[in-house]
Amino acid sequence: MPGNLDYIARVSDDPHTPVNQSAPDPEQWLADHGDALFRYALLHVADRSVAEDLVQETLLGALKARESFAGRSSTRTWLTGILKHKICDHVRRKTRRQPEEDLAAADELIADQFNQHGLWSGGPRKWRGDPSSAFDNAEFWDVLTRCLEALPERLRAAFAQREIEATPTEEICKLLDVTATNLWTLLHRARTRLRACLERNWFRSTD
Amino acid sequence: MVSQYRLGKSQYLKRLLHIWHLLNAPCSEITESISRAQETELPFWERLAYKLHLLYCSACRRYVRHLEALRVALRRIAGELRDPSADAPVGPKLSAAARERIRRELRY
Repeated sequence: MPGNLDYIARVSDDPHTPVNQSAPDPEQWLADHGDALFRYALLHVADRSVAEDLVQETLLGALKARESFAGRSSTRTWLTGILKHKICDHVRRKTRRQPEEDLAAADELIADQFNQHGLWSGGPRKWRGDPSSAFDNAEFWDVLTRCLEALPERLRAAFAQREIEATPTEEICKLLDVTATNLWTLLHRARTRLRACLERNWFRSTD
Repeated sequence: MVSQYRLGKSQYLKRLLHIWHLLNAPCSEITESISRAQETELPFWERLAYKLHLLYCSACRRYVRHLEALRVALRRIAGELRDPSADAPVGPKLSAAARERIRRELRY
């Protein structure tokens, strides 16, 4: 895109250059990347209005920072990077205000999956279909969002950071302000609850 | 180092009981080990215990498979969302109202 390169060259020559016509257009960002950013945010926060706000914050943040966008990465990558920061800010705000889960007490939703001897009571069944192809189905998105929504904020954030972003555990501990041992418990609870919820509402085979 | 080899009788017994408990851990405890193994290296006996358990427990094997499949799917979809050339046609979209609101904010 020669127009783009022209813009970058001009900005680097003079930071006060008014944005010219070929500059990246924020409304075009919304049109091209809005839905993808929204879905990405939804996987993390499981709440449509929060996800919408995060997309808005991301695009406004991008607008302010657009002169620092040197075009080294694609617009989508750049915007997703900003979104990830907004997600972390949101998680920090939300979890600071919420009481911590009682990690010493047993998690009843998990205890329900086992009998009194600690053996599965009817647990993990054979799944119909594969999670990778399930994302091609709009209804699966609804089910996944509802299952993620059912998790407490800290469990969901720990799960999303670890399973989607593959964030190192030390960083997640800092983000959520928990010890490593507590993070292991949060992750185990999130995984076990989410697996059961998805099985119950989507993957349970009919036979 | 030396002190390790000078465990008293009761300490040996404690250690043995601990290992016995690990090797007989029920599914509820095994799933905790399986999950923690994703984040850290487990002590030898705990690792051995859950691996042995998986040999004969098909439900826990499924638990592992399901979580792996879910992880793969989530990372794949996140990767696709970062790549504009792979936009999937289905999935939730910004509502018209939200889109309009964001557009107004961007103009201002």
